[in-house]
Amino acid sequence: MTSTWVSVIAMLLAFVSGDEMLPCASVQTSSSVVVLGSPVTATCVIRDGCPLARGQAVHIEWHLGQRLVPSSPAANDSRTSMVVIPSFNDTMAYLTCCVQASPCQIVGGVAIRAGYPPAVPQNLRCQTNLTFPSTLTCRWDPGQKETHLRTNYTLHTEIRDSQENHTYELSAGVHHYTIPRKDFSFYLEMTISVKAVNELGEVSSEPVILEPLRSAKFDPPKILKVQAGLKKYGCLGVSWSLSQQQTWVTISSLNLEVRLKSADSNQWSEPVIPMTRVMLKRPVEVCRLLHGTEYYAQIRVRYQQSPWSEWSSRQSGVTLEKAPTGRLDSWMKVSGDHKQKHLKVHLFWKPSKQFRANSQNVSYIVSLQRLRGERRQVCFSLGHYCSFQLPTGAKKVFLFAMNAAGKSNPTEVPVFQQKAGTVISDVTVLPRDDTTLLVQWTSLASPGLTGYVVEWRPLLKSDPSLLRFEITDRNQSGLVITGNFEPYQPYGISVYPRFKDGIGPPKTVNAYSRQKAPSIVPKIWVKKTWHSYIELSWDEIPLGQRNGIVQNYKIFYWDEEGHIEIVNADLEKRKITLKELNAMSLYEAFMMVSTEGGSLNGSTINFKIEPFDAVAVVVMIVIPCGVGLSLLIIITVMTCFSNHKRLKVRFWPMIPDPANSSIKRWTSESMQDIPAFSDFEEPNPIYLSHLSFLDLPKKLDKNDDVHWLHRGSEDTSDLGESICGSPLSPSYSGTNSDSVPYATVIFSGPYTSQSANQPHVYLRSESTQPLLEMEEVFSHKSYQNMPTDGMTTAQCFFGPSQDDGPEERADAGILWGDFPFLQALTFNEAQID
Amino acid sequence: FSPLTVIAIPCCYMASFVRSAPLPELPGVNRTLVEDPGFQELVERSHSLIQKVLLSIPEAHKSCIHTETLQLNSAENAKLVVMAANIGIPSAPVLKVVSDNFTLETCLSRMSEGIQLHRALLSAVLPRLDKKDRVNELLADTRDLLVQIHKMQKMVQGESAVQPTPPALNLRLPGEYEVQVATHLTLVQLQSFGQDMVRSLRIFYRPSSQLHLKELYNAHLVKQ
Repeated sequence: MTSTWVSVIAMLLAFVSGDEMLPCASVQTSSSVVVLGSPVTATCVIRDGCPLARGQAVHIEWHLGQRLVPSSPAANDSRTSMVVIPSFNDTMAYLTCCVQASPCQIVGGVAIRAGYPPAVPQNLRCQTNLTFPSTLTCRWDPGQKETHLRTNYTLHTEIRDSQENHTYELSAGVHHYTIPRKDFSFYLEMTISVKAVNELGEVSSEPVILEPLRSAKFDPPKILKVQAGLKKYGCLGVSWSLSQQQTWVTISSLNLEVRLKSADSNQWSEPVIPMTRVMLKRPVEVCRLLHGTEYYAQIRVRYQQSPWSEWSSRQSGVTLEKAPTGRLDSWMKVSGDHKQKHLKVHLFWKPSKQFRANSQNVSYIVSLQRLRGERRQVCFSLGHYCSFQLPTGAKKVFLFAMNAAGKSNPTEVPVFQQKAGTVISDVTVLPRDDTTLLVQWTSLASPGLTGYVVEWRPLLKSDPSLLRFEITDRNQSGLVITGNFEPYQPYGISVYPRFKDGIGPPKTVNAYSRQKAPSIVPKIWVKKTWHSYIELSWDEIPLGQRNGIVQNYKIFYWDEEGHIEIVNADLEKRKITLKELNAMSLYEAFMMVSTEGGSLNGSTINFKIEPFDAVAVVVMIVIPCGVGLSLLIIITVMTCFSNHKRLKVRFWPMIPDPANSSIKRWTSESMQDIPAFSDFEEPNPIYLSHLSFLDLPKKLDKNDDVHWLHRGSEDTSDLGESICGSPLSPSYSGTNSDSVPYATVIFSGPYTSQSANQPHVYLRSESTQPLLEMEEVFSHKSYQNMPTDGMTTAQCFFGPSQDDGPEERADAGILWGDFPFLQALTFNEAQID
Repeated sequence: FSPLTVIAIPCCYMASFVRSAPLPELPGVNRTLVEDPGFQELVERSHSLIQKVLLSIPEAHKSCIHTETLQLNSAENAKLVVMAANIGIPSAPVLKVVSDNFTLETCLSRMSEGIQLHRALLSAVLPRLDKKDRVNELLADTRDLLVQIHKMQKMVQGESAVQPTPPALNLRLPGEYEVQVATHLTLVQLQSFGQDMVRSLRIFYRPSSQLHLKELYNAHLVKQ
């Protein structure tokens, strides 16, 4: 290829160097721009002076690009060649003429372009912009067919009334133009067209005739006010205006569209409400609206068939109120026995599909009707819940809705009885999304079943007003309930069977709209161990931290060697027993709690099975101890039965009754029932018939010893006599036929200061003189305990019960005479003092 | 006769009628012609356009006048009477209440003259202004207004009605200050003349086509 071009250049240079500046050949074609696929004809004429043809016949070839094109020499002229390309299918190609030499020398060429005539511009549309600076912008589509040729567009406008014509040349590839304000009139019709031109032809679009203002897109209008007219029930008047910059448009043929939506709705009403030929600055009125309802309104505007403006900003207004209409759906839950005087009633209600509150502020009244027909209001509520006591006499409950305009007709709520018997056998809840749950249930065939009540409430909130319900008919076995279900929060969903005359027991399940892993895992602890077993236990996860329905409690544990075991715990028991544990190994364990939404692992604990065999302990120690204890109890019981009286005396000591006893009996009979002090050995009190008290001085001098010894030598033998011979003992006879042992009690301090825990010293007397012989003369006296001032030595006073204290003191000597034994104690005390 | 007198005391300010009031029996007015829907449409369009001019004047004034002492609706404008004469600003035609002595044809003719005058004044100062957009918009609006008035004239006078030629002006604008004053006085005078036009057009404006046009649509809202 390179060598070919070099040859051509050399030849041409030679031709030029011959001082002939003419080209060696001339190439002519029928058209340098043709319609794609059309024939092309070309002629190549070699000049006489061309060195390639000088003195010889030439052979001419044609090339279209790289391809050789068959050609034929012209008749009678070998220096002229003509080529015909029947179908030129390239968008652009070079046709060259070549003189056959070695190599073939190109002597001329021509570029040929092919394409199509311009397509008719389509969809010419123009829109006026009224915002300063006002303009008129026109757009069009160039057509689908590719022309392969440069196409220029011109926009032509003609205003016939003012005889103005304008042409706007556009850059290639631009298919829109904005006409300045000076070139159009708002109210004059103008004809607009687009002309497309390329090398194969020109074509104009269909002209568009328009009045610029009628093609204007207005700014969003303004709503000045939305309000209900006086006594215009169900109607709202919308005051409006065009935007501030467009208030000059005072034409009367504006069209308006209004759309409304109630305040609690998310969607605008469809279709929009058309208002044709509205009057500027006059409110438009929209009717057939709900009473007492807040609506948001938006408007848009256009002039005749011009494009609609964008929607205005919204404004709200409230229609006039009317009394509520329609009935309420209710759900009454009665608790308590019908035998009681009052029943506790929880009444829930909600608007039925037919109910119209006709107000933004509606309240509810619940009243009872007694048997006599009188009604009594029991509730006034702004919500949808009420709790009250239902007297047994009340047979009907009525529910009213009330607003500022009046009160609705009553909705009668039947008081159903609670019925027994299982009807709902199973309830399942499937979450659909965050706001809906699918509740399905199966029920047993039950006569009289009229339908079901599905109720749901958040379990972590105790407010009863949060309870919601739906009433279904008997053919339904499922219901999609909708509400603001919070994710990860438990809801209790109950399905109640509904009968003609009552409500059956519900089936209740817990459900979540969305679940995740629990917030906590309960701490596990070792409850007990035995042999190779260990029992682990844990607390229940608080409901608020479960975040879903617990699927399983899984315990992972492993020993020191890393042998991992996994066990699933019973969901209800909250404990598990790990078996076949190695007593010598330290174990680690943790719990994993799973819900449908995920799992959470708890902290790890360590435990070890002690080698001490607890079972052996039980067998070797506890059982013998038990057997021994049992034998001891049996023996004790038998002993007690055999010595019933002794046992009785030991535990319930007999208190002698002075009124029904004598000193002899007391000493010989009653005293034997008094238990002896076991702290020290003492003579059997049965044999103690005479007693005297001697105070031992803490520090005895020799004289005292002597005196004491003297007195002892003197009195010891006469001790009994000194008492018994006392004139205070008139009944003493001084004779005694029986030998009675004597004893003297020696205290280490004054008698009155003797403490109970100080042991006394008994001095046994060898006297055999009887002490008492006249006990039988004692009259029976009652006794009484009496605190006596100044008589600390005698806590017990014997004497007639009717006697007063002072008199008793005066007669003490006589009384002591009746009790010589005690008198001796008193006497000795006086001596000590 | 001072042009500012015309500005200050519009000749036909008394003609401010309530839009919706029935057309009074006005001398010099062909009632049948005026109540023709075509004529009413022209009146309506003219009214709209002159309103647009009136709305545009404050913005145009703001964009063109940089002298603080030259304010629209200012009493200081009374001090510019001599300047107006020196520059050569003609006073606007006087619009009066249509009567036997001031017929509808005369009124329309005065309107046309007045608009042409102010278009000529705006065109004269336009080359000397830095910002021309607002004035160009005013020129286009007054041009459209002129077309509507001419159409009304044709309806009143027939095809023989001749559109008046623009007045020949020879404004003396030797310096920037004169340009500012001339532009200011033109806008002030156009504002006053436009307000007179609004009052005059209201006399002819018969909103019969607007009466009871409000079509109440009973919306079939979905009761919720």
